[in-house]
Amino acid sequence: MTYLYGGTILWVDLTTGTTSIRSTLDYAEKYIGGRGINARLMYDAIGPDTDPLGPDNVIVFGTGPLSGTAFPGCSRADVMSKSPVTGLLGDANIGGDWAAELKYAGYDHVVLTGRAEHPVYLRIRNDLVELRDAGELWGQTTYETRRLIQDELDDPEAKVLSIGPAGENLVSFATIHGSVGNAAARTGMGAVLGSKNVKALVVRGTKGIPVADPEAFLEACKAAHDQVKGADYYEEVHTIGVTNAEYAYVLSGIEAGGDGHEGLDFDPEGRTDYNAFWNKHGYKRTGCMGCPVHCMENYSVPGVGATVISCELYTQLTWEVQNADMLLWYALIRQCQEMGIDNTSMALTIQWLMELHALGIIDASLTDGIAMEWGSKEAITAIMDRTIANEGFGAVLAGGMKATAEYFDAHVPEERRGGRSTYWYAMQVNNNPMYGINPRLTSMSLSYAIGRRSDCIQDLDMHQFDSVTAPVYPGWSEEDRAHAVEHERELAYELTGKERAGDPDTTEGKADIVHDMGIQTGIADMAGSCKWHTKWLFLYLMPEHYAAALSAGLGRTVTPEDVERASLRVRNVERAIEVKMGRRRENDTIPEKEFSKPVSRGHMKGKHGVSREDLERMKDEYYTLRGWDLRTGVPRHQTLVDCGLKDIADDLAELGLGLEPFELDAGGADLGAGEKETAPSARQGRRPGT
Amino acid sequence: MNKVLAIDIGKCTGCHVCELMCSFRHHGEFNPRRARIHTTVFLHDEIAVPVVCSQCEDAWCERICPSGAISTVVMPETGARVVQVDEDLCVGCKMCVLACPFGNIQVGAAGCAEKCDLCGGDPVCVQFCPRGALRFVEAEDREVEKRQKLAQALAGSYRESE
Repeated sequence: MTYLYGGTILWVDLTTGTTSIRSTLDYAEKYIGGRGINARLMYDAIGPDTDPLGPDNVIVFGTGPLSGTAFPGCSRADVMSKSPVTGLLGDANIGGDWAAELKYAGYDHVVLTGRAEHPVYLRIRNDLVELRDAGELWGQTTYETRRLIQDELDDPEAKVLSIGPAGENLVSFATIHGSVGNAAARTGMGAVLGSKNVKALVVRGTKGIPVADPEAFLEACKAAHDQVKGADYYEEVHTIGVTNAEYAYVLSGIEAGGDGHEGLDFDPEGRTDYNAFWNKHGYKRTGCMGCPVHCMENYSVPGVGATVISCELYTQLTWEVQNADMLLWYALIRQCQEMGIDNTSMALTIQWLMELHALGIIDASLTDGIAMEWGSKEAITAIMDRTIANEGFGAVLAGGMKATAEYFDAHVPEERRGGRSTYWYAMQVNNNPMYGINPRLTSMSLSYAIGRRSDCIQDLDMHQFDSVTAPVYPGWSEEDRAHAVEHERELAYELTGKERAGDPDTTEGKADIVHDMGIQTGIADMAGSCKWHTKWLFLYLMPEHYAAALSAGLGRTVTPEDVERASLRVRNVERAIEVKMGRRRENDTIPEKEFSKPVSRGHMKGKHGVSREDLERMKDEYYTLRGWDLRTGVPRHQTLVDCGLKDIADDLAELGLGLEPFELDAGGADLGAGEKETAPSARQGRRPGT
Repeated sequence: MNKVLAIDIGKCTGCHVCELMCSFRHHGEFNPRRARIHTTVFLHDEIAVPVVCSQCEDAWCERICPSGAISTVVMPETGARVVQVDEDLCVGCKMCVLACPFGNIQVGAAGCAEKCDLCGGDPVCVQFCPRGALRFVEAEDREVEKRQKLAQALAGSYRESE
């Protein structure tokens, strides 16, 4: 009997319409599941010549061994493909109800290859797998698609992941949507699905997930729930939510960074007050399957409709584009969800256009006659409509920031651009529009720079985040704040053994924290649970909790060290993929214009302003912890071998990317004189006995 | 004492933990399809509604059962009424499934009728419900709470009108 896992990986060749299966257990021990197995499948499937929107690209949907169980936050599916945004590894994670259902149907992963001749949707009902015609669904919104498919199949319980019109139109940053409010939003996974003529993946399963030792598994789940519910921050997230925290971050200057905000006061009346909006239009907290936290909110606005909103969505189409009209914001969020487009990418693209316009670099003649004034309602809506439709100037934007910059550069004389490419002004990492989180903060800059999939979320150093933003949490007294800051400082010291690691104004210990955070969130991603329940969001599920659940569920011993090692291994697989696609040390950076500039507003005004040297120094430390070559950022041969990835090490060597130990030592000596590199260890940096 | 399983739709987030724990307790696996409580999520209205056997005072499933497998008992500790299935007597004829107007009894893989038995007096769905949408309370208390909520709202609007 297969415990915890559905047991099979389903391959669907869209070109021929044929399917095949393979046992998940071939990969399970080494890569656990979810993002881990996805990464390994992707390593074997794509190369530097793979066209992200071509039939040679592959897209993988992966659940983890804990998906669909009662372990906290067991709702996640990880989606991987070659990204049409970055040309590197694309990856997005989605909650809701789909992942569990896939497990109940008996599958852990679904791999789509090739391209269907005409629009189809994949339908899975236990052992039945079929491609059905989606001609009638093409052009429908994500909300409607779900309903129409449930009607067609006469199955109101069918769980649907689908793309919207933006994905069909191959907008590079299109999303895949699940149940309302849930999206695999980043790095253009929706465009990949659209390029394959796949409108949706529909699943219904009636099989159960057995566990080896029910009593022990129940205990492990209880312990994990208790840990989450007992965390200091639980009450905050559970009752107030992360959108409120986001509002606090914005006020503090942590969120909504960038030059565009300097000296501008677009909201003197405080119309963007999130609490006012919530009190008027919010009615309930909600969450994904199996979640005790409920980080999301239900809203209903007369004349617009109901939807679910959480976290960063608050910041983007308000502050980033200087829009103080919250009803417009709400309608835009709903439009993003229905049309299947990434709110972050869209907002940051519009922000860039507005900044270029304000600087006099571009004018309306380049943007279909739309004047990109800060906060212009007409500009925001028109640009969004055109981008989703991939029409007119929208067709340029749909290609991403770099393509847009090329278009501008060809039309704007160099002196008007300040002697630079317009790309220089864009808030992006490897063409991936950045989050609202301010990259001028020390460890944030490192999180962005080294971030897998070219964004910061995975490795985000929330310790630092909190110690500086705590003052504005609603409901916290000054005493609470002081306590929280002290607590976070202690934890940072405990983890790194460095005195000032918890101090926001230094680079000391930041690489250790970011490295550790990557390991922790990686474990959750592989297990198929939500990374918000790790210490990433102060909910403190630790490797021990995952290991206990996996041991009881699988009926074999899985130690905390095992899951940490697997997380390190998977990160190296991902790095190897990115290296194969061309990513090197110089690609691990933040926009040049953001260096050595302090935070421009809020409680944090005047602080930080990470310099290029700061970032490079942190990168040195981070690469050393990871066992990556300091000169190139390529995982060292020995690192990969030590992780149990000898085949990948050999593969990189064959491609001329392998770095022999002696070469590495030479490279290391050049940059990090006197620094002794060691193989990575998950526990590295912790003081003995902690 | 007369404890009942009380549902507060306003608090339910549709997380399905009740289904997961129910199936795990009764069948040793996580499988919402085999749970005896089901939460329907209306995505477009963002409302979630748990549905579970209401332990009818005059249970049609009990009345129709030809083999006498279904009976109503009152639990001594809690006074809770439970309409329960005796697996040894059940022949799997599915008459109860036909009779129940609410779809709260089903015939499972074992060929036997399955329904909520309040876990023998300590419902696991209640233990794990993360927002307290499910509670196991005195029947009277449930109404009292509802009335108090209404009274509070009325008091609020009365104060405003003053």
